[in-house]
Amino acid sequence: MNSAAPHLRSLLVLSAPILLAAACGGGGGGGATTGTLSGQLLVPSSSAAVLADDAEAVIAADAQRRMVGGEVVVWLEPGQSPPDLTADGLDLLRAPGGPIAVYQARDAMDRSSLHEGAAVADSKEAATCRAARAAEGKTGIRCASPNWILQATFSPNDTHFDKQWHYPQINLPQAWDITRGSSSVIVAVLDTGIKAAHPDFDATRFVSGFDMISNPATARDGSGRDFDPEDEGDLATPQGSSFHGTHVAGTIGANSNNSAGVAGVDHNCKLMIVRVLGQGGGTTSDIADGILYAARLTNGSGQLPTQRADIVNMSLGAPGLNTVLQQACDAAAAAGCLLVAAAGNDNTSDPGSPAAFDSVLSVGAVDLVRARAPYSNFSSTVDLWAPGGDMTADRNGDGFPDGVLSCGADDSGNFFFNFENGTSMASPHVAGVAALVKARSPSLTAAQIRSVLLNNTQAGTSLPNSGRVLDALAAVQAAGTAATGPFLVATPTSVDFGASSTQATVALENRGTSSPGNLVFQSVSFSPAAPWLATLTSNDTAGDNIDIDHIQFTADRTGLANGVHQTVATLNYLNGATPFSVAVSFRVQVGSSATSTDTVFVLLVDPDTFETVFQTETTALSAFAFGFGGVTPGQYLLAAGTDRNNDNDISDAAELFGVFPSLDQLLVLDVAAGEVISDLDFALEEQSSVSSAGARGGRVFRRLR
Amino acid sequence: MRAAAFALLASLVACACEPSAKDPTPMTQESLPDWSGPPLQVQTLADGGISLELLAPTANHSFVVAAVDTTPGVATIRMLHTTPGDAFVAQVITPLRATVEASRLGGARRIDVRIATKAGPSAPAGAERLAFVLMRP
Repeated sequence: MNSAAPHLRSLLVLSAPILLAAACGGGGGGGATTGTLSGQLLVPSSSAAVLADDAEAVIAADAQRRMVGGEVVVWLEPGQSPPDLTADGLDLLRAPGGPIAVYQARDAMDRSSLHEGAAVADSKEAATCRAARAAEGKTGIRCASPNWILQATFSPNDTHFDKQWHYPQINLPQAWDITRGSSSVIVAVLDTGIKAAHPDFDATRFVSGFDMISNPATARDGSGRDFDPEDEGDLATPQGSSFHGTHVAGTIGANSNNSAGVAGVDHNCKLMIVRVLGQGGGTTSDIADGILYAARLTNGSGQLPTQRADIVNMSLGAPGLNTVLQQACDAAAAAGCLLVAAAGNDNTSDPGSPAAFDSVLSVGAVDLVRARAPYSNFSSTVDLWAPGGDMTADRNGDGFPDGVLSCGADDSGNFFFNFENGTSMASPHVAGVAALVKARSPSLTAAQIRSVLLNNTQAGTSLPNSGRVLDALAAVQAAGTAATGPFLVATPTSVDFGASSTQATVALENRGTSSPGNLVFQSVSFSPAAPWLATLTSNDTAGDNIDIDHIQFTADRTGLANGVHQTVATLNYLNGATPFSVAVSFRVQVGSSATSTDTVFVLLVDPDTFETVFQTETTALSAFAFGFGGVTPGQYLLAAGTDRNNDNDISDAAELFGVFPSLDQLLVLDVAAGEVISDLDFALEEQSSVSSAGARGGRVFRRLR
Repeated sequence: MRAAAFALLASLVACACEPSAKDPTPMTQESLPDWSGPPLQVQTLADGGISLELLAPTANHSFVVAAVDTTPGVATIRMLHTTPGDAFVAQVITPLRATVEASRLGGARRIDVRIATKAGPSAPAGAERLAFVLMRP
């Protein structure tokens, strides 16, 4: 969103409903659940808001976001009543009091929605966006926007997730709102094997792996090829073995949202571990046979897996083009596998194997600012860039090197989590997202998944050859439009009741396009069992190729202990659709006050003295929207929080507190004369007595009296 | 910590390139580093020894002290860096550390670090390259 446009930004508060209607603008953004904060910084100069040069392009992009079609939300100037905008095509729909009013855009109501097949420019959504823009600048209206539907961004509860900067960088948490993967998708990891006993792996997610190392000496397991891909160590350095495959596999599919360790890119896919690298590395024959094995093609081992892998990750490489390996890659691709490989770490434009083959998706590494990592190869054969990290830097100041955090082990049998960097780390991000794409749209072929990944990217920072960076959200969103046969989709894909909500409804659609058939509801099952959860099904829309199109979940916290309770609801339909899983969770937090009664103080703070310069207040009644006017040009930190104990400190224990853009990172807002800054989204979190000081470095934020 | 190490490295390089008037072995063309391999970090240890860390681009490199030669005022640390050659290896940046005890440096004020590289375990070592010159007070 154009930062110069007079939109508000939203601040999301922890705990509560899944769908939140933002007061104005903003949108996206994650966080939780009982309300939103929106706001803008205004300065006294009368310079008009600058619209984007290509307004229609912005409208076309905005139109594809989720909104209540035809509804425009306005934020009124203080003391103003909702103005009559009938002549502008806007009819007042509701004005519940306070600074927010909702209008209906007449022009939008006659149009079809995008999901009904309308062209973007002619759609109800685009008309709504235009109406919102028209409302802006009208007397008495501070800002306006479509009535966005904001969905809480899923944030896994893994202990070290906050250090996995490489996931937000590729918009992965937002993608997890759409899908967290499917157990029907298999990702093969051709590497040093795995330490399967690492506590952050779920043994049920491993499928028929293989140890393809033929030389017992380099395999270090006393035998040649066998069915055990356990990593016996590669003695890669005098300090010990790398257990590289464990790290790579952890990035793809570590046990996630399990209140421990790290998160993986895909939370549900199956992992096929194929051990091809031993002491000294790997041989062409072992790796080629490993590729063929993963593709369920005849290979030198005489063995085949039960089912071929959908995606094959190879965080390995060697200089030059190896024709034998190329044959294996080409054969696996022809068999339906998407092959993904590390571009290499030699800081060269020379192509290497297997990344440079046409049949392989080559992945270069970017650092924390999406610039090429200093070691990454940059051949023209690099297809896509993904976070590989740069451990010589700590650009986010979190006290850790900017590496990729995943599962680690050592030769003494210890398990831990460690940062590594390399194109080895970038490749599994792409493989994992490919698995998410496949989960979202199971009918996609490997070539189509590759196309989705390459055509739905984000900009990097001066990447060679106009390179683009992996964008998980864009990819899974695009995948959702590519289904063909019967295809069940649930929205949202996760339900988090937070600490106070008890009901949530999931909409179910048959997204099949070519021959969708008619999906007939069969059952919903829970794993683990969830006696605290009741379901109610309904069919709200006839003729939509699915008999049950809504399922309501009702949570009962009675008698449950404090903590997070979660399960996965699997929705089963007859007639060909893959079962769809919806993650359901909620918190029991007896003794916590509800946010609906809280006043949240929003502060603009001097970044040098940490003294509060400006302050405003907001509550649930105004959907936690906020706005500042008359801000003196200068530099500010933006913070918000409650003061439940009335000690003026909004950042101490038991308060809801947050800073922009996050508690891990303080940014200074530079406000120029006449500038309008929007999209100041940030989350509030309940501060525990043991909360890390994070980016605020132990500073206290005090409200004004 | 790594950033701190680089800062130290930068100061050491500066030290090497700007010999003081008391330097008994001024820098010459022959003493200019010509190493173009992976990044190398050198640190002086508290006991006067030297710590070296080569940032190998992949797994399966090795980096060992082959010899330490001393002449009056100058110690030359000869390192052997062995790459994986044409083997397929994990594409992970791998720090390789080596240490030279102070006793082996003979109190030298100038320490040269020279590295010979073998392109694979069975390949012959190439010519030595000067990777680092460290001047000590």
